[in-house]
Amino acid sequence: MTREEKQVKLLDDIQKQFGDKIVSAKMDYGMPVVVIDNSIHHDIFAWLKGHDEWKFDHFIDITAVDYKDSRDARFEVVVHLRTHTHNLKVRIKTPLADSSDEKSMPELPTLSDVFLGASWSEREIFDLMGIKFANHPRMTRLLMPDNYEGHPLRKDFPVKGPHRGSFPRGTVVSNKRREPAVAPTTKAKPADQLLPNTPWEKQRKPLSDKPVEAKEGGDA
Amino acid sequence: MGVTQWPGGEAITTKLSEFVGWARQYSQWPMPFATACCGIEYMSTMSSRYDQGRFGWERPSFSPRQADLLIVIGTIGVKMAPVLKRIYDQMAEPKSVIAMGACASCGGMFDTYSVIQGVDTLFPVDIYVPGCPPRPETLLTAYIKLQEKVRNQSLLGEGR
Amino acid sequence: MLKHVIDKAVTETHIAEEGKERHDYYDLNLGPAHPTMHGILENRVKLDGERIIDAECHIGYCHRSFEKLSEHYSYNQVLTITDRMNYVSSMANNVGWTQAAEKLLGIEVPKLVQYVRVITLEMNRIMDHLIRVGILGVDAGAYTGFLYFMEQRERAYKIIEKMTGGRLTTTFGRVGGLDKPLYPEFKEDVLEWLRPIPKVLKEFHTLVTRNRIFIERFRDISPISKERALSYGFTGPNLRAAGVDYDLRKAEPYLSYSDFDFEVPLGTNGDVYDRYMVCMLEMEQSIKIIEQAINNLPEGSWHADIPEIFLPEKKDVYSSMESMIYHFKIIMHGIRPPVGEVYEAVESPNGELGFYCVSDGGPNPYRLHFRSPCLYFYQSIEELLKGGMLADAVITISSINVIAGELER
Repeated sequence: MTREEKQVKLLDDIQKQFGDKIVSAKMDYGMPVVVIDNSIHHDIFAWLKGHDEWKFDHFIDITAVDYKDSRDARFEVVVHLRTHTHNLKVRIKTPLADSSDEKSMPELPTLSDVFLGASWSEREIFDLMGIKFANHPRMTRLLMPDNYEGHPLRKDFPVKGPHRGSFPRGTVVSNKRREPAVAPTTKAKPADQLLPNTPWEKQRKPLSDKPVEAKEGGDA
Repeated sequence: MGVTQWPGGEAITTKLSEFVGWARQYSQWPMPFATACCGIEYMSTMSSRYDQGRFGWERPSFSPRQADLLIVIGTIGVKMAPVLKRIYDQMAEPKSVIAMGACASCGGMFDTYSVIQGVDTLFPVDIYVPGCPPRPETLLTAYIKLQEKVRNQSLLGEGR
Repeated sequence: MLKHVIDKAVTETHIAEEGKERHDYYDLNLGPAHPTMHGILENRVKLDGERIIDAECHIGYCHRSFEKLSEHYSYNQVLTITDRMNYVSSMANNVGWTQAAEKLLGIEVPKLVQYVRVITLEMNRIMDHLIRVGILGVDAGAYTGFLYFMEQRERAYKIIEKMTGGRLTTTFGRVGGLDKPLYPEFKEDVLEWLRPIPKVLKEFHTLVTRNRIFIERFRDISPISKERALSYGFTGPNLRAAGVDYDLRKAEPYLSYSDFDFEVPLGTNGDVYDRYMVCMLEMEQSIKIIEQAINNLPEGSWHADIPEIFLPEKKDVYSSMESMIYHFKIIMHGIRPPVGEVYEAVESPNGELGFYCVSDGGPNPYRLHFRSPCLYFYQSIEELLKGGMLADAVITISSINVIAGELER
């Protein structure tokens, strides 16, 4: 079978197995794309990995997109898989609605028991997008500090950060327009306020820039 | 400074601060704190073509306790800043800091939620090196400028 | 007297109390600022003497928010971001991004552009592997080989500077072609650069490959099986060292790679020695590809014929009416692809570098996700470090080749 025929057969097989839980299954820029319902988010991947003919055992990518205000379901989790035996890739998208109240986050089952490579990527999605994955072995922040508040990749989070100058306690952040949170800057300040008191440090004034004077030759 | 006759031979007279400054400027022990792309240009400066050893910077020290120059190479993120401040605190006086690259000097092209806008918000910096990444020749110019600064440092303490 | 004191101290630390463990495990923090770590990575290891029992890895110390920034940049400005991802081979990332954007826009570039992109991609592959193998040698104690390799990298910088203007971060290429026409002595320069490289590789082989010290340090350290490597999402030389034959240049040929004749080296059990040998052999294959491409460089234009997307040259803008209108439209209105999404990947020196780009019809990408190969390698470190010695941890992390810019984007 040629590559295109295999891709069409793959879409047919997925459609036959899961029936009406598949929202759409078609080709897009040369790759088979399947949009599924939340409820089969874990089952379809376990089925694809364990299938005798299509062994989708190579994990490529998992990511999330925030379609704020342009779609009903705000988030969409996108997974790319590959089968090494047939050399095909597939993209599976799961639309996910935002949680109804402010405190909780939208949830999906985790894929880290099916694919080992999903664990850190799901942590990153939790960190940057705010989507929780149930039964994950360690659901903590990956890229931002542990006490950070907010999910940066969401569309309502500004690029420069929402509260420059008033970060959570203990975070060191810089700021040229307002008062810095922790460490003072080197702008003109009285000598006793230059640096915080640490046991290794005494007061330090900035190095003086004396102009280099011409010296006499060193020979007699 | 001059050469004078002394009973039994000759002596060279000079000021102690000049002598110490001359010795210190040619024997700095840098601590390269490399985080990102500028680190590769630092590696080029360390290698045989733009040799930094010929300026006396032969021994890069990776422990702050044994270093007297901190070269901050690359972007400093919000998570990294407390670590860098601790490293600066662990260095003994007298110490200098070179901020290499645009990201260390002022945040560079990354004016975002996760990047510190310049390392001088954490501690005082002596030399700023522009470039993204700076060429090795630019870094060597920074070394020479730092040598001049160190030569003129007074022995009694800063500013005296 | 002193011996008595030492014996007493040793026995006191190993006294077994009821219900407690016999040994005191030692918690060590390797990083984030550590001389042997590549970039800034934090590994907390639990040691029993020299043996590592458990490891926990933390990243995020160099997170520069590329994905958030790219939502505010136009399609050509994203090249400044992709430069800084795998900064050791920045032109390879740029080639990948231009491929993805061209797929979204539906552009086909002329043959000359494809061959030049292949040549730069392979040159960057050689440069990346030179640093990778050199640093692996430095961590194991072979500093001389690193200096020999850095000299070859410096010679390549000359060519890259003549081509693009920058040594390391180059912003090479544009959507639809190259950024400037090739300079006239390009062919001779590249052939001149290639000439001493096989000899340098051979010198490194005599230093390291059959050297008893390095065989003992590299063999059977942190092997990984095929199934686990596939499940983790490994790609690139690390996966080929484990024995899986996946190379994007052969599996899904892009950029006229099907015109060239080359082999893909494979390893057997995925340990550090296999990764090292795969990289050395890949460099020889890259030399073959560059020679074939340079000797058959086709004639043609250095950009596709799409005046709505590719900026016209300045001399045309000042002399011809249509060029001025196109220039104005491109700068003010921007390049607006149709609504849709695309996933395109290239074989970067580290593995499969993928770009998942969602477009909403505007001048900036709506969402751009970089599938960085390093994130999937570094997940496996916690498992690969367990059971080994502390010195092997350094070799393992070095052989996986984690670049901080790509890991944390």
